[in-house]
Amino acid sequence: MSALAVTLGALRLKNPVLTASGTCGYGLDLLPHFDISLLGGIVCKSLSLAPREGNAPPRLAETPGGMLNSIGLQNIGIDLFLSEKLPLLRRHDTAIVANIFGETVEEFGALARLVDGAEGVAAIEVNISCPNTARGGTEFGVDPDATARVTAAVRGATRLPLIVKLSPNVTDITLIARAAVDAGADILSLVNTFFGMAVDVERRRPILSSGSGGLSGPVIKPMAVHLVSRVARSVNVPLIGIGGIRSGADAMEFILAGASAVEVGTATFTEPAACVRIVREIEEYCARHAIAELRTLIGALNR
Amino acid sequence: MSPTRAPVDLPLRIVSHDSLGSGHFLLSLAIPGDYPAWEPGQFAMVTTGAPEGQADPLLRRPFSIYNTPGDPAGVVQIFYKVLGRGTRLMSGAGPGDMLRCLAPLGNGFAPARSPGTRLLLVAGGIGSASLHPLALRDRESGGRPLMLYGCRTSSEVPGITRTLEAGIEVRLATDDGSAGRRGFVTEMLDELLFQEGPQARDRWVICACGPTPMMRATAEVAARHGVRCHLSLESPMACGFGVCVGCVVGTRETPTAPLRYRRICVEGPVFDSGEVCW
Repeated sequence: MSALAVTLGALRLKNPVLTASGTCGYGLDLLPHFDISLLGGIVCKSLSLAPREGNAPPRLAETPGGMLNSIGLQNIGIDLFLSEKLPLLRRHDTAIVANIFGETVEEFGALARLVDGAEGVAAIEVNISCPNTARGGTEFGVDPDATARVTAAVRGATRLPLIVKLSPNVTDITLIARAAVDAGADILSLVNTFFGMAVDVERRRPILSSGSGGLSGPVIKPMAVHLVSRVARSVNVPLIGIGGIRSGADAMEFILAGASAVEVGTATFTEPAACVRIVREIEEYCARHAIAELRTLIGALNR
Repeated sequence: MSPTRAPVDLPLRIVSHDSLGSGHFLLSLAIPGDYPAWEPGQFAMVTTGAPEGQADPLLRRPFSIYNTPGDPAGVVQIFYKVLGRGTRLMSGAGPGDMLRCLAPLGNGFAPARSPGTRLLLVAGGIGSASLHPLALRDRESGGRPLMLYGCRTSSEVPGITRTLEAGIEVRLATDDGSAGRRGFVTEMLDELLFQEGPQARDRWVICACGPTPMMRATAEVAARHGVRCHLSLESPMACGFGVCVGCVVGTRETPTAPLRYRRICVEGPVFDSGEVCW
């Protein structure tokens, strides 16, 4: 086992760095920039049953230390993904995680069945935390019962490792986390973006066409580390930390706080090969601290 | 024309960074010998400060590449105007400083000028930056490009200083009449095409770049006169290479086709004016 390998239940990763959903297309868009087999995994853009065109522009607003987005899950739909993207993607030696999004519990189940029948998917990540859709999304992610229903529907449709991606826009994230685990989640990933809004004061209207959107980037990292640390102490499943990671040190914050792996998102926008550099920096961190196996540092905060 | 080579992301050294007046700057970044070639209308994503990235402002900025490959040699040039915080920070960088640059990106202008037609370049403000290399390239290949340049006031005339120096024919309009003729550049375009009547459609191909209201007006004028028109669109961008899906524009392949959001950074920035939904 190599020094950076991590095991999240049945999901084995060569290193703890994955791309975050919605920040790498279907993985193939990264190929001009680096060899994706250098990563622990690729988490695809959220897939819905039917293709979605997404929200009207403007969809982006830069804010201090971060950015707001309101893409609205524009995607090609599960069928095209499975027939056209996945065959190209699975040629690469990296874990492929299919992120799925449904507007109803039944849609989540149907999506999971389709993914389960495909060759080359290592895990399913369930998006119950998108802030930018009228139906589905946080509607499920802010309610423990709805979280449980979606999770159970997916659990009933697949034996693949099941990751539930949590929203930070809740009063007590541990309630949602426990609901997901009790309903069959193998792994939790956290956090999705924080609700946010930016206003163009000259025009006196929101910058985003949808009004509000999801905040990502370095500005959310301390809040995300805090939430990972809380969830790590309240459930007994592996976690994937997400939120503003753009260096090996950032990734180590999440790992020490209790995450077994991390997803890198916004950093890819500002540096296409950020994930590869982060893997290298984690390697350097381990060498500098004479750590033979990274997994020994998961949740290993000195207190 | 589709780019022939994949974009590269490199820290590049500033060779020169000249103020051309009224907040206009010409930035020259040294490139290695094996740098990919680019087409007029392709663009670069450039950090506004330190090459290792900064948290604030977080995102790079998209800029048209101003020069053609090899003219001048060994550099990528960015011609920009200070408009916000990012460009203001960038304008403080000096020779020897490094900026990280991801380029070349986007589709660029298709050289679709058939024999006997001329390129009619309609530029609004700093939109001249993407049309300048197209003018030079077109002239190299035997064309006689004509640029119509519009801006608010005479202080924005630095937008065409280099284009005039290069000997490209330029007609100028300002909103306030302080230089050139008074009025919008799209009015100048409309008049020019009107004077030529039905022959206009066989005589010109329009390529335009400028603020969105001007792009829309240009598309309307072009459609009215039946003249082929390519628009280079701008948008805030997070990534510039297709993964954030933030910079989309609504398009229809035919007037009755369903609306499709396409990425300005990958499927554009140049679109056929007829397919853009305003």
